Amino acid sequence: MKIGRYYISLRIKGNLIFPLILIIFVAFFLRETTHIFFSNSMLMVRLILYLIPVFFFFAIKEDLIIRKDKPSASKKKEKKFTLLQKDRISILFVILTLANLLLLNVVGYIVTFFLFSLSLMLILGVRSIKILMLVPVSLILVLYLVFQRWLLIPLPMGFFGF
Amino acid sequence: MVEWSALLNGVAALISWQIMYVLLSGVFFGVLCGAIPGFTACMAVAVLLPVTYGMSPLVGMTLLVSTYAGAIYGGSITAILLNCPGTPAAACTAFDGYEMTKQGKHNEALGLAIGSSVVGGSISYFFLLVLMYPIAAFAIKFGSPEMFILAILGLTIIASIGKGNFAKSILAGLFGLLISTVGISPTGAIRANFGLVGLMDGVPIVPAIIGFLAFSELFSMLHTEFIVEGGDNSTKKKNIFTIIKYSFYCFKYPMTLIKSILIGTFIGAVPAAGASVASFVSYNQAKQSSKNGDNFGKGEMEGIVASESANNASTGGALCTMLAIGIPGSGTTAILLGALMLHGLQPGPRLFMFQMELVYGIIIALFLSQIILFIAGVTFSYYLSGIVNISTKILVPTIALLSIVGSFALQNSIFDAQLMFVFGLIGWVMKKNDYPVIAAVLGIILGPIADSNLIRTAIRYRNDFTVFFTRPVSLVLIIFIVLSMVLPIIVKKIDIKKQKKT
Repeated sequence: MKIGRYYISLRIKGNLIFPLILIIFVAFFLRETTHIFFSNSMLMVRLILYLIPVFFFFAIKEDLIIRKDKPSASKKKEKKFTLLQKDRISILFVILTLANLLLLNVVGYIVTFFLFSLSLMLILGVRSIKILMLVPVSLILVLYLVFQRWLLIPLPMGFFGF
Repeated sequence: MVEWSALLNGVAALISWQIMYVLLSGVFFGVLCGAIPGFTACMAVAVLLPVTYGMSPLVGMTLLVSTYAGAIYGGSITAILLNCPGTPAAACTAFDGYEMTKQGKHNEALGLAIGSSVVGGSISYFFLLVLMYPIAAFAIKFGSPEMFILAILGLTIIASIGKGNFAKSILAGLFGLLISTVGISPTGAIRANFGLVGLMDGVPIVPAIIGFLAFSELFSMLHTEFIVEGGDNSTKKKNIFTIIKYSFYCFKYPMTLIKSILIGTFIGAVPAAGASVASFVSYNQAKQSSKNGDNFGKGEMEGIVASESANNASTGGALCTMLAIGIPGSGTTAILLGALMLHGLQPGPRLFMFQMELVYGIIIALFLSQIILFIAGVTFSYYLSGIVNISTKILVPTIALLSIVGSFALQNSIFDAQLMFVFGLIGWVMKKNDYPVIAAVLGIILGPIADSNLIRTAIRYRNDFTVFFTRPVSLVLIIFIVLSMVLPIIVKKIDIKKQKKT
C-alpha cells in the first residue's frame, strides 16, 4: 500500500487480525460504558483504555514494513498468512465445534459428542472402523460415569432425553 | 507457640483406620478432581461436604482438607501433559510444564511438580503449626491498597513474556485485563455485558483459561502426529523412576523453593488472594531473580518449582487465616469454615481455647496427606503420562470434549462452553499473530483482584491515591516491584561490562 511517498506492507499477511479483534472489542466496550466512563467503576478500565492505543501503535509498528522505495519482486518475499490454504482442517474443526456447541442443548450430549468425535477423527485421517466406533463410545461413557454418575453434574440431554 | 500436650493428643486421635481411610480417599479424590478441567478444588471440597455430616469433626475435616491439598496439586497433571490446567492455580505450571512435555520431558516435569507440591505443602503446614497467629495477624493487615499492589506485582511478569516483543505482550495483557472487567463492578454498575445475562457476573475464569490455553493449542495439535514433536520412542515412554528421581530435583533450586513457599504461604493467608495469585507472583519473582530467567516459558524446570511450590504452600496460608481468625481466604476455605460450623465448632480464637486437639489433629492430618499425595501423585503421573503415546487424532477430540464439558460443568451453562470456544479461537489467532496468550490469561486471573481493590481504595480513601505510598506495607510492595524490575537490568549491565573487560 502506498501512503504519500511511503510504501507500507505487512511482515506476515494476516498479522493484523488480533489487533483488529482488540479494536472491535474496545469499540463495543466503550459504546456500552460511555454513560459511566468517568465514574469510579471505570477507574482501572480507563487506565487500560488509555494504554491500549499506545501499545497498539508499537505492536503494529513491529508488523509493518515502511519503505521509501518501491519494493522489488525479490524483496517482496513476505511470509504468507496461510489461513485458507494450510488450515483447512482448522476451519473444519472450528465449524464442527460450533455445530457441536449449538446442537448440544437441543440434541443432547450423547448424540452430538458421538457425531463430533467421529467426524473429527475422519477429518484427521482415521480410517479404522474399530477406532472410529470405540473412541467416541468410550469417551461418552467416561464423561457419563465421571460427570453424571460420580460428580452428579447433569450434562445436557436434549429433547430425546438421552 | 505449640502446645505440646494438645499436639500429642491430636496425634493420638489420628491413629485410627478410619482416619487413614479418609486421608487416602480424600487425597486420591482431590487429585482426580483437580486433574479434571473445570472441576476446581472448591467444587471437589463442596461435593464431599455432605459426606462429612455423619462423621466426627476430626474425621470430616481430615477428609475435606486432604481433598483440598490433593485438588490443588491435581491441576498440574493435565496442565503439564495437555496444556489444560485442571484448576486456575495450575495455569502457571502449564507455561513450562507443557513445553517440557513437547520436548519429551514429561516424566521430568511431572516429577518436579510432585516434589515441589509436596515440599511446598509440607513446609507451609509447618508454618501453620508454628506461626499460625503471626501470619494470620499480618495477613489481615492487607487492605485494598496492598491487594491492588499485590495484583500489580503479579502482572509485572507480562512485560517479560513473549518472543522479545514487549509491546505485543503488554497489549495481550491489557486485552486480558479488559476482559476481566466485563460485568458488574464492585460499585454495582454494569460494565459492558453486551446484553448477555451470562456476562453479568463477569467473564468466568475457568472457561477463559481452558479456551486460551487448552483449546487454542488444539489447532497446532491438528497438524502434528504426537504431542512430543520428533524425538525417538524413548522420549515418549512413561518412566516411574524418572518421575520419582525428578521429584527430588526441586531441591536443586533451594532459593526459588524457599522464596516460593514463603510467597505462597503468605499470599494464601491474605483473604481473597488465593493459590492462583500466589503461583503467578512466585513465578514472576523466580523469573526475575533466576539466572535462567530468559528460559522461563520455554520448558525451564525452575518455573515449575516456583509455580507448584507456591500454589500448594498457599493452602497452609489459607488455613492459617481460617483457623486462627475465622476469615476464609478463598472459596474452598469458606466451605471448610462452613464444615466446622456444621459440626458445631466456632472457628477463630475460641476454637483454640476449647478444641486445641482438633486443630492440631487437622494440621497433623495435613502433614500425613502430603505423604499420600506423593504416592498418589506418582501413581497418577505414571499412568497419565501414557497420554503422550496417544496419537493426536484421538487426543484432539478427547481434549475438545473435555474442554467443552469442563467449561460447562462449572455452572451447568452451555454459554460458558461457547465462551470457552470463543476464547480458544482468539487464542489461536493470538498465537498466529505472535501475541502471547499467557499474558491475556494473567490479565484475566489477576484483573478482577486489581480492579475491585482499586475501586475499594478510591471509595474508602476518597480518591486519594497517595495512600499507596503512605501505608507501610503498600510502600514496601511498591519498592519491591521497582527493585525486582530494575535490579535484573542493572545486574545484566554489570555482567556485560565485566565480560567486555575480560
